[in-house]
Amino acid sequence: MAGGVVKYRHLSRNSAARQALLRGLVTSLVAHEHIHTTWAKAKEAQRLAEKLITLAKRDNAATRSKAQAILYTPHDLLPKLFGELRNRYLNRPGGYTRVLRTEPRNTYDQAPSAILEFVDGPRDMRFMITAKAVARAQVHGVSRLNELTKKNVAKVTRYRQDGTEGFDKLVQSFRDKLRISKKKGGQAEVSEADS
Amino acid sequence: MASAAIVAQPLRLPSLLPRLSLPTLLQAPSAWSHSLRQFTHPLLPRLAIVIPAVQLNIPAWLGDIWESILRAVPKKKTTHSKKRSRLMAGKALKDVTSLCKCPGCGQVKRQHVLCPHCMEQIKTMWRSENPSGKFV
Repeated sequence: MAGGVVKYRHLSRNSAARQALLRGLVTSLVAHEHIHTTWAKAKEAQRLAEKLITLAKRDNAATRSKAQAILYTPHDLLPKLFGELRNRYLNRPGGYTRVLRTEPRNTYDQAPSAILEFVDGPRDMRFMITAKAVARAQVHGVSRLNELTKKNVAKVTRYRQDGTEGFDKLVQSFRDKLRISKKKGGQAEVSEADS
Repeated sequence: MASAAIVAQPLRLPSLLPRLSLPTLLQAPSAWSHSLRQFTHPLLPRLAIVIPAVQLNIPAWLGDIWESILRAVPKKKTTHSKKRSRLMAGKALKDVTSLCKCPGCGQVKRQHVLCPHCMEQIKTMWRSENPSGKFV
């Protein structure tokens, strides 16, 4: 690395250990749709995950064997990768995954942490949080949404199948929850919102 | 302490230190040293003893306590607290000022970071939907 540009994070590992780590992270990502890890590991695993989805979209014998070499449990996950995930991202020109910074996962080392998730999947955190923000704005009678929230609404519904309907449904469920908690909590929540 | 020994016994070796041992010459009166040289010269064999060119002007009685007294060393061990405060000077934790209000719950959160309260609520929802967490 002396003086050279670092092309990727070494993650304090040699090549074999780093590759094994990233394969493990990506295998978990495909199985669980989202993973919570350190920010640096999430960003490195994101590269490999995007490449994996690209292999799935190309879908031929060569890409199948390459995808099999990445995943640790290919027999469980290859059908999902070349079926569900491939169909989900056929129209999307890249950007299949998302890294969201979170508060440190480990309170002891306070390492910067992040969530790595598949966009438009069943564990899309930004989709959920945007819906929650919209629901709160509606409950509190805010007519104009925040610019960032508007942008997020457009992002999370753009390529999603039944994106707008699904989003509205989710907003409705969050509104119901908020109304219930408001009734329970009495005036506390309302006065906090007005201030 | 070769030099100290030489200074302490000047009678034996005065002629061997003609010009080299300046301190010795300075210490003794010049006339006295001259007569000594003349007197002792024939008694001494022609031994080639190498005399160090540089000599310290230290009396013999000081030689023993030289090691223990005259070295410049710290008197006390630096305490842990003193050392840590010296090393950590200017490295204190900084205040977090980049805060905002979470649009999902209204609580204060760090900018560009997900709200931990909303995240926990959503994760609880997900756990109740699919306890295994797997989508295969």
